[in-house]
Amino acid sequence: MEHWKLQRISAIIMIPVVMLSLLYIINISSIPYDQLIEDLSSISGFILSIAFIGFILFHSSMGLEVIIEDYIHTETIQKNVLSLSKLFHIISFFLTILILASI
Amino acid sequence: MAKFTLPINSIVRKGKIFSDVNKSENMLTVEIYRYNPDTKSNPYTDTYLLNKDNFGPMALDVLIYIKSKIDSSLTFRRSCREGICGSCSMNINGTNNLACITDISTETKLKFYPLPHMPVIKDLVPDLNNFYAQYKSIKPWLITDKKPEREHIQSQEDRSKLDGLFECVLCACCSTSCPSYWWNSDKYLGPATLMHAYKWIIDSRDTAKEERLSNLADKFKLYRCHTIMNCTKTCPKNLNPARAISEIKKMLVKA
Repeated sequence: MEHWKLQRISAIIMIPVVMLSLLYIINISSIPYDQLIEDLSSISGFILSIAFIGFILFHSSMGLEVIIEDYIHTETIQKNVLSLSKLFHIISFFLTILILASI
Repeated sequence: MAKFTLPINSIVRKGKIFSDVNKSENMLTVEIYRYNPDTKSNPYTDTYLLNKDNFGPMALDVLIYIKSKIDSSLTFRRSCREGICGSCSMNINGTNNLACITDISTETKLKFYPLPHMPVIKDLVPDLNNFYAQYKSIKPWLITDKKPEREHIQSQEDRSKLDGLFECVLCACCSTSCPSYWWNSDKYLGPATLMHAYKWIIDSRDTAKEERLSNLADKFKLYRCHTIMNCTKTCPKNLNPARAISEIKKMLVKA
């Protein structure tokens, strides 16, 4: 039940976060390079980028978990694939933080 | 892993062609899935070329005509002939339906298959043992501490909440149309059983709401429903199992 609830909550939170991020990305070609670097390294830019990637990865991890449980029925294979999926999402999230922090 | 290939003995072959019609007449081409476990051979599809003037306007009339006039070995379930018993559920032209209430008067081709993704006992008869065991697991009877002298009284308002739920005849059309049920029918209860569970949960006479809800709060029993809504689309009684399932999920969030 918690899983189902968290998937819905993350989906709802993603609506404004993704819309804000997309609005920025759509206009990215008209933003000068220096301005872009400044935006991404600002606190608000950093938080929005982390939220954008974080919620997408969180939601994707939960969705993949359900798909894996649906289609992989052998218990040991299922457990291993689930662990791999979680590991991939966690590494992706920390890589995102590292990249954003290095800007 | 989920099985993506069919076992070798499940590949459907072409069977015989039977004809009792001249091509100029009001012709109906009927293809029927046949499987006889006694012969241990692959299933096959027999084709029947029939004159529509010889039988009534429903799909079940076609099957009864073939069984009585052409091939008495054709096996299917049927009983009431008016959509009440749920026996004649099968896949007709790609959609699960009750044969007795499927109008074929405008059809020129018909395909009859058993309910999808169920073990087949013979021809159009699927094995519904697991389906009934799942139904039994939700305790489909009134649970109450009250012992009234006569019947359990219910207000008209409370009774009306059961409309659109009690009409389910357990034909299994919805459950066997659900991809989630195909992949996980051993653990996921399926739309028919969950709709019945919801009916008991909201029944004002029943006092086991919490027990029933906690029994369903399982990532496989209930949450394998991914809101595909094939169940609602296919229900021969025009009921809405998808809505019942989402209501259970909402109740669990509030509980």
